[in-house]
Amino acid sequence: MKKALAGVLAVALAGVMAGSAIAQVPNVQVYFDPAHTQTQSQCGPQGSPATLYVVMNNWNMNITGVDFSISYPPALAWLGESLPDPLTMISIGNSPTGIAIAYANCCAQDGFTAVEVLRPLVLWGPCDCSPSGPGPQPVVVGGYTPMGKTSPTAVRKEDFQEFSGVGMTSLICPGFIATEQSTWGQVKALYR
Amino acid sequence: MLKGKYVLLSLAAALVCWQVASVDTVNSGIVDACKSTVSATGGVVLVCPLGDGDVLTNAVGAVNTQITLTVRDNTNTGIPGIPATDMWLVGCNDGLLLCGGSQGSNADLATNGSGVTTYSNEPIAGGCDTGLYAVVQGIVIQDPGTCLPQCLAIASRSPDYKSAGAPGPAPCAGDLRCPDSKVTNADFSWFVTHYPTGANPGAPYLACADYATPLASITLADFSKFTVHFAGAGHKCPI
Repeated sequence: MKKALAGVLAVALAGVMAGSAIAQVPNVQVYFDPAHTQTQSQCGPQGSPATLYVVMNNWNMNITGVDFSISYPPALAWLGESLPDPLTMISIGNSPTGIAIAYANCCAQDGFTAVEVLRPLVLWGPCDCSPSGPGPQPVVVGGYTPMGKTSPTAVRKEDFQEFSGVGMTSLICPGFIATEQSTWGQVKALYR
Repeated sequence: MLKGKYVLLSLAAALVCWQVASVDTVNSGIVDACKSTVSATGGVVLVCPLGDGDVLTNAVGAVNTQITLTVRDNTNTGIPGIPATDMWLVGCNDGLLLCGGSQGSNADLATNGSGVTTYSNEPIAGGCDTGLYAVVQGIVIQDPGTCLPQCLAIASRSPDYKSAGAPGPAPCAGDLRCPDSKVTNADFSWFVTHYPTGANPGAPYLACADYATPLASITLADFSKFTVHFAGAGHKCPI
């Protein structure tokens, strides 16, 4: 019994460690809210506009440039995008085909914290999160495709060296948990 | 009496010997471009009209391209004390627009007792050139072997490559070079033509738009380095 308990604890600990390791990987992710907390969303009203927030996490360096692309699902029609501060940053290209963003001398980004780099404007398209719908639709961050990159990259301010990160996936209609009506007695009966 | 003559003759001979011996330590003060020498390790530097480009001692890829110049006269004697303002750098192909004229690329110090000085800073300039000439009092230093102008293989590339028009020089098309001492939208528009995008994946490579490692391709690092001198208030010659 003790051995089994120890085994379970070890597996749990390994899981926690793996989780924290993943959390430290430099990445670029799309959020559905300005507070950068929601990486999943239900469908919005079809035809209504929405703003997404592209954020760099865990880069741990001063950033003077970044590039990536975003693959939008059918539920989101890309309309355009804006930079958080167009006076101190400029971009080349666009997120569906690949966008490169760079920063003025004054205003390199502090990659030791989360950095919002782009605000794509999208229109909600056909979207169905019901159990009979098509299921989850991913919003995937990829590399700057015109240069053949497969993952986001960023440039360190001090020496203009380029580093690769991970493109994260956000979800529309993240999934379903099947439920059924029950009683407390029936639940307890499952463990007897 | 005879002994006195020998003494006089000996003194005269000694005087002549002393004068002859001292000839090689006296210089005419006139620069001989073919006997002077200049040397440096080749490399690439970003130059900016504001003067905040890559110093020669830390060129792209952390290469030290500091230039050493020895100024000599026609007797091959080093000329000391030439003021730093009398020595400057220019592009070998006349491709650099120096900010404030020659003062944008002066030597570090006056020549020392052996006629030697150095250049540690990049030219303060716009434009693009594949090499640099060292100039002393208006004379380009030559290769001692051929007595032809010696071009140092230090490529200077500026984000100021195009002109925005009046009051600067007239704008120019394509990859023609027409710097105006400020980094403007004209320069950004030109740079973008060499940056691969979804709409232009086969953007042609141009060395003048290549400011950072890896060299020989236009990358995010080049865009980032360009933007440092462009975004916000574009850098310009303060004079």
